[in-house]
Amino acid sequence: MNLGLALAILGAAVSMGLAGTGSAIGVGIAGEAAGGVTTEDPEKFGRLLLLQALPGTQGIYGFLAAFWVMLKINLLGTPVVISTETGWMLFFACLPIAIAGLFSGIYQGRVSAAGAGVVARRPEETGKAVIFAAMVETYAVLGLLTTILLINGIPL
Amino acid sequence: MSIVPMEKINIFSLSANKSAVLDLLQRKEIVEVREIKEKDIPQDVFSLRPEPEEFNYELELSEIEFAISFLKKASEEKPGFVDAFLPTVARADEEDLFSCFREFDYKGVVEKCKSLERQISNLRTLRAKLFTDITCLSPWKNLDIKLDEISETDKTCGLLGVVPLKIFPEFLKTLEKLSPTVYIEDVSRTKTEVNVLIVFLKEEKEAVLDFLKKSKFEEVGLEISRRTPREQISHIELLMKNTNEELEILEKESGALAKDILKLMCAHDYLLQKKAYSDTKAKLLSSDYTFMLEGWIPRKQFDALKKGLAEISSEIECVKVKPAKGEEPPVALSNKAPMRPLETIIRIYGMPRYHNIDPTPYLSAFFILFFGLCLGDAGYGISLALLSLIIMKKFSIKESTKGLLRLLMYGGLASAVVGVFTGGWFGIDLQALPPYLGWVQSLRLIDPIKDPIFMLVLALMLGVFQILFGIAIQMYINIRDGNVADAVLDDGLWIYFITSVVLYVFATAGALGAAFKSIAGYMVLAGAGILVLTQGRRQKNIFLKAATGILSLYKLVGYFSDVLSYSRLLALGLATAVIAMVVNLIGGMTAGSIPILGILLTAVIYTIGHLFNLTISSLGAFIHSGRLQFAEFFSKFVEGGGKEFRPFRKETKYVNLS
Repeated sequence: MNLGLALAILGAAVSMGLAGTGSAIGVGIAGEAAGGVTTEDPEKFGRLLLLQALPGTQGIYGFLAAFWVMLKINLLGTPVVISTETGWMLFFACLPIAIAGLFSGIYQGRVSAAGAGVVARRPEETGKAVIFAAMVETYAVLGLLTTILLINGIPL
Repeated sequence: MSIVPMEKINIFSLSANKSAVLDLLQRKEIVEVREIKEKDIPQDVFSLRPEPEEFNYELELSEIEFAISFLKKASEEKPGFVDAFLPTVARADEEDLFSCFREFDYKGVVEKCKSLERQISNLRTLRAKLFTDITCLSPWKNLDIKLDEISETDKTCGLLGVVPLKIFPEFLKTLEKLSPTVYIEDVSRTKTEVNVLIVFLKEEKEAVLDFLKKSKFEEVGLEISRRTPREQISHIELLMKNTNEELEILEKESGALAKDILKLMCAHDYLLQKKAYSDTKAKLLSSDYTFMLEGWIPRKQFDALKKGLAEISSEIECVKVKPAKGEEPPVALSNKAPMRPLETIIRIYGMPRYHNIDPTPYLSAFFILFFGLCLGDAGYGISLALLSLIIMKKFSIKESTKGLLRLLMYGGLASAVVGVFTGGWFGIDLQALPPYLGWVQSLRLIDPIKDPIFMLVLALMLGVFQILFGIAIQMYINIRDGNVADAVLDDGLWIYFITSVVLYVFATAGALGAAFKSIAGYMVLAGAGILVLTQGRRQKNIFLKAATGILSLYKLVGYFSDVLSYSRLLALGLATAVIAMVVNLIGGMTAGSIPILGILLTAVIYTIGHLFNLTISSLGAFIHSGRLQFAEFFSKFVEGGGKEFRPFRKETKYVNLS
């Protein structure tokens, strides 16, 4: 039984799980709004799908962080033996994307839902709605970056 | 390369020339006609007045639009998934439009569509009603009494209703006690309720009703008819069948009409041009014999317009006039053809103001490079460029979409270059390549996955550079507009200060040699000192001067966070690379798992996985490099809020004019 390894896996699981939850909620919120607009105007499907997809990136970032951990400890081959301290380090390193992903996903979903309103009334301004949603995503990107840099810096 | 210089013009002439002038303007597409407000009218031409509109284009257009969308839904060919993203547009020339309007009975088709739509929606309502009727009747199927005989006979009254199953035995008992002559039939049951028929003598009516009111009995009203419930149901089912058949016929009829969609579109767009014409006409001022037009024209086109007008008649006067105080000309951007797709990005942000500057040439290299860094894979880059090229060549699409595709092509090429240097080829592990492909590996200068810090520094340096560049443009604008003091003391000083801070950071990190560290330190201190002394210069009060000066240093924090924002270039590039790796990994695992079928499965995983990654990574690359322009770059020099130049022209909605 190796606690270090278990902690590293917990980190990977948390980053995927929380960031994925954020995305799921966000995509859900955006999807509800997009669905409403589509009933009125099915031709706007393409633009709306784009908006709905925006809060989906947090889940991908969470997955990337989880994968980064797997690469670090070579979980897909023969796992490296790591100490409990290193395990904790890896776990903590996963928190930035886990937390930032969870919350930014939800709020990005809300901004995207507002963007669906823009698409409904002024479809030519979709670009602006997309940029608003992207402003929220910045913090998920920074979370991912922090996680990656932290994991990279942890000595094995 | 710039914002097009505009002239405000007035055109005066005789009413007889009006339509010829308007025709010329619509054909040339160079003049934006402005509405003349009543207060702007000079007193001595008081009799000038706007023309009344003679034809209701709005109504006509909306009716055709309705018919088009109705027929689109009715048509047998459903639009594909791709169409939702890349709607193709039909081509037609002006002759087509006119002949469709003149010879094709679009009004007839619209009327037919309207009546079809009405009939179909009526039938659908009817079908829904019939369906509800059946649902209401079905619990009473086993009741063998004609529906109109239930409520009343000579001596008895009857009621249908629902009683909760839980209290049903008690309900029965109480009712029997109340009157031994009451007849109760337990018609059917659901999980929680019993559907009952209650028949009682007329003279007991009051007592029974009184009891029922107090109990949990709920009366059910069924439509009266001379059939039993079972007969009624089969009667409704027959009606339903007929309704469905009728609906099918109507839907087929609409489907057959759908072949005329293109003609409708042409007629629509013809009317749209007519509407633009009439709207513009309404903006003119007319007296009994003359008219006056006010508008904006690009300075370069003025002579061409004058020449065109002279050819119509010598009795047309076209003069440049001074814009009113506070009136801003509309903004048009003019760039060389290869740069034009980048105007798409400016349009997303909104036009800069007329006296500002056209940011297109300045952001172009940055945008494309950033896109390349975010996608960062040579394989994806080449695929994206090829895909965009093919779609542009093969499909007939709107001009605006074409600009976007060309932009994606540039971005794809940039990421191909980035990918070559960073060794990104569909996320393939280059070390595992066969020796004859060793050159691919030798082209790689850096591996971002192994050495993210280098890429991070590169991304941040690009950020510093773009921000300095943005301030430099602001400096240029200030000098151009004669604000030399601001240019030197705000922009120049900040450029110096930021540069010295960056040098200091590098010196501290030991990248520039120890001797340089103290020099850079003094440079920073000097810069900060001058900022404190100068930034408060607009304040009158000496204390406010000092306070504003010191507070101005806080702007450094803003610049710092701007620069950090560029770290996304690294993060998104890594994201693309790692997802590609994951796709390859999963594909590789399946290959060996099942003989033969495994290889097929791998091929599917590779294709779908990489397509997915290409899509979301390109989307992310576009959005985030766009954001860097808007939030970090534009904030340094672009003044938004200009009004886009919209010349009077031949507008179309459904077809591309060729």
